[in-house]
Amino acid sequence: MAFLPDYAELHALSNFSFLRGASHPEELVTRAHALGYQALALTDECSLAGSVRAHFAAKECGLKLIHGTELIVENTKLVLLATDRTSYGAISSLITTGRRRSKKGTYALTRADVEKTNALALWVPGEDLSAAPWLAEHFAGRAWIAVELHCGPNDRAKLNGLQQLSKQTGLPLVAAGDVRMHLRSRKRLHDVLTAIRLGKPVAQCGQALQPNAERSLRLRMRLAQLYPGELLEETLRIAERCRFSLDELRYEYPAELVPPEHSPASWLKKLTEDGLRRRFPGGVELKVREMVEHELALIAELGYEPFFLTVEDLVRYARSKDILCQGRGSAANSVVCYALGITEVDPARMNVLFERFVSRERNEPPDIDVDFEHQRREEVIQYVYQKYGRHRAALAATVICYRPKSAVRDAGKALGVPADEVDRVAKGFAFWDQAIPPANTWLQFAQQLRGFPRHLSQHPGGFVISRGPLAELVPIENAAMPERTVIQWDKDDLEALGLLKVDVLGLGMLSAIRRALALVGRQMHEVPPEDPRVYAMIQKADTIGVFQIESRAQMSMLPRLKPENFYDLVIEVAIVRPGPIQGGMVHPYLRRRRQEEPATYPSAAVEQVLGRTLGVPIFQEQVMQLAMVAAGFTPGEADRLRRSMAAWKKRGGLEHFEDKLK
Amino acid sequence: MGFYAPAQLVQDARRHGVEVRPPDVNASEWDCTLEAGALRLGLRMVGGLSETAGKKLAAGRPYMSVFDLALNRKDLRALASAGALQSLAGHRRMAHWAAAGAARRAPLDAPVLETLPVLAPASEGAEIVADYASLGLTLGRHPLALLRSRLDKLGLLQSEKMHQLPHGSTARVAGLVTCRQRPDTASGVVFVTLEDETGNINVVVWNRLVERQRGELLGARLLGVHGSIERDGDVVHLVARRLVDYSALLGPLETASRDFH
Repeated sequence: MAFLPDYAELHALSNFSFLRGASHPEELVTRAHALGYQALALTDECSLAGSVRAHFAAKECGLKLIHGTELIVENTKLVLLATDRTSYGAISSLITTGRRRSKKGTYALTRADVEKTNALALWVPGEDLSAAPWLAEHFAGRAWIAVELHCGPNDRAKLNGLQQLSKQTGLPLVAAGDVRMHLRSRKRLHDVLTAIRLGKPVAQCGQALQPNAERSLRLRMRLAQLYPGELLEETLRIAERCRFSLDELRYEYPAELVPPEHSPASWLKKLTEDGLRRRFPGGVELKVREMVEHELALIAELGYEPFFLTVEDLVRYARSKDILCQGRGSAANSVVCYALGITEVDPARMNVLFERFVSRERNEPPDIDVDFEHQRREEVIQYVYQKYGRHRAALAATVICYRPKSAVRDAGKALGVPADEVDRVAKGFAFWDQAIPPANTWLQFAQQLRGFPRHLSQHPGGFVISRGPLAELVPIENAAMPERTVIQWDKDDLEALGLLKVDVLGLGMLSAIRRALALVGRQMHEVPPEDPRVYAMIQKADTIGVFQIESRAQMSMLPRLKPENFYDLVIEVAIVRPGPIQGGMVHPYLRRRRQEEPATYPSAAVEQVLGRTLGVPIFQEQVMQLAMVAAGFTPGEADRLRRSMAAWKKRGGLEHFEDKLK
Repeated sequence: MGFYAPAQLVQDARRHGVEVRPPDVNASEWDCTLEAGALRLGLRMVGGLSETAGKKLAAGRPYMSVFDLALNRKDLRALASAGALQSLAGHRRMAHWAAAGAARRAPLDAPVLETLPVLAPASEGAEIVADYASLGLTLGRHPLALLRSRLDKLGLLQSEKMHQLPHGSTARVAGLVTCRQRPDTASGVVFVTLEDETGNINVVVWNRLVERQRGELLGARLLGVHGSIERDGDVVHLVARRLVDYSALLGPLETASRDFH
């Protein structure tokens, strides 16, 4: 197909330009690749929210992705494109400026803001041509006039006009598509989105609807017919100058947590040693000492010290203010976390497995979940803002997407379906429904709309804290709540890029415990451990309002398992989970517990791992340890196996472990 | 917070012999508190009362009259609806009358002395409806206790009686829907928790019935279930064979279910 011209699309909006784009970023990327485009620029309006998804989709298929944004600046439509890390940072900061200045969902920018940005600029001329001299002055050598032809009634005249304008201003011309959808067939959905945006039925939208489906990723053959060759060639020259990739982003931890005479490693070691002395006044067992050395070595190798220090700082602050808090989850596998006071699980009493928490193979930052008392979490959040400043700390976003009910409602309204009919049909969808039966056009639209991002909301407590200005990493915008700011990426995006987030989660039960203790005038340590009267109630499932064992599923397990001590409760909580239930672990365990069948072990090593659960694997840690002692996995491999098992239902892909396990 | 709504927590406490007292402007803090072993509901339970007003009220006790409260119309109405003016104005209807007269007026509008009319108290059913609307719970009888004679005629058993039936027997029950759950691990089964004046009933609705009676399952506030008893030691479930929506019997009672994946 040598006669097809090469092309790079430099102006494309995804559905992260809410209610404007009709395709997911991933769809645009794969389609651009399938059409043989040299590159695609994702230029959502004043947003980089879809950039991470697009980045990974592009990496997977091998398409060159360019990051940029479309902006309306004083009646002038511009597309800015990032050439390198600096100009990416400048675009991100610019978006932040525009968004922070304005209420949620909107932005406001002036020419003065934009002219500081060292990005490439495509100008999409409208009625107002006054921007030309300004562009020529401030963007010399890096501004173009975008020629966007969509088979309108006067394409030829438009092209001629722009060629004139180019001659007058000295700004070169380049072809661009102002793409809103990856396929022509999305045009009807685009109309529906337009109607939702305008708040009236499609039939009344008139001129606001696109006259045709040309704002899709078009065949290169078609582009060759529409554009002069040199305009298409110009896209490649611009794409060539845009060499920035999100892979270049390197997260830098806040520096102030380490005193000047220390390195992060030496400071973490000192705090850990201090903590060990506090935790083990009688001296540290050899086993624990070895675990500490192993952990510190792995933390140092992966450079995660500042993360531990950040969390330690939050926990220390909370404790100093008598705010109850508690680390949970896989961090309980870390002696360092125990020494730092982040978790309360004594590693000497447990079979901890650090690789469950941090592993070299996984190559992603650890996740320390710390719950703070729900009613005082805000104090911790304000501490973070005050310590690091709003320019360096912000909450991760949660992308709110269309769910079946809302999709049915909005699509129905857009099609002019009577309100009571919309209501009736929407109510027929259950809270668990995922798919929408494609019974008619309305529901087909709803099904396409389902999963489309609708707006950004704040994550319940995931903070991103950086060393330099956070806005140069990712745009920050205002949340609906006053005094709250969120970044434009959600926690999956952060995880995919390997950026660290610190969770400041609120747990209502901690507030309830604090208030209950205050009401009866007692302290936590006065509560007697292992009170048989408590277990008598638990065995009868008399546990309404008791944290962790109050759900109906837990309550129906309690009379069968009959917990007698704390470790039994640990098993109780773990066994009513998808893994043990679907793995058929529940009944063998219960039978062995009631001594209806003997607990047997294939080897002494396995008995070491499974002894406490009567030979039945219940904890994820046991799965890892089994793979290690029985099949010779390294700790890192064992963690990969665990993760593949956890994701198996979604993705499959356990087969390659089979040979090794045999 | 947690798995249960305050209504369930309060019922559970009362079943354990804890005395629970209603919110009252002359006794309640903003939070719920203990009063010599009894639980006093806090003003935070009063629907529609602003936190600022509630905390100010709790700090300024005691009050001699509804005028002393010095609140705006909305907050006064919220307190009257909750029955939290009992100590100042008597039952709800009287409280509403007093609240309407005491709402802060423009400075030139001088207070008028008038004799209070004598209003008859509302019926028990209306009180319970008002309790649910304002507090989300009632300290009076359970709503189903009032409907029991009608439920008896429909052949619907109380939770307590149902729990005494042997494994495999059939039963018909009805209760307020307090929770619907459809865990991903349960291949489409929906677990419904019903509540009546004697306790909770755990209902299992298999996939096929879920699809057949989706409307009843999702729509009913008072759900009737015909099914069979599954008993494993002390754990009793009712496996549904047919669902009936009896919500009409509840009239204007506002109940809420918590629905989970």
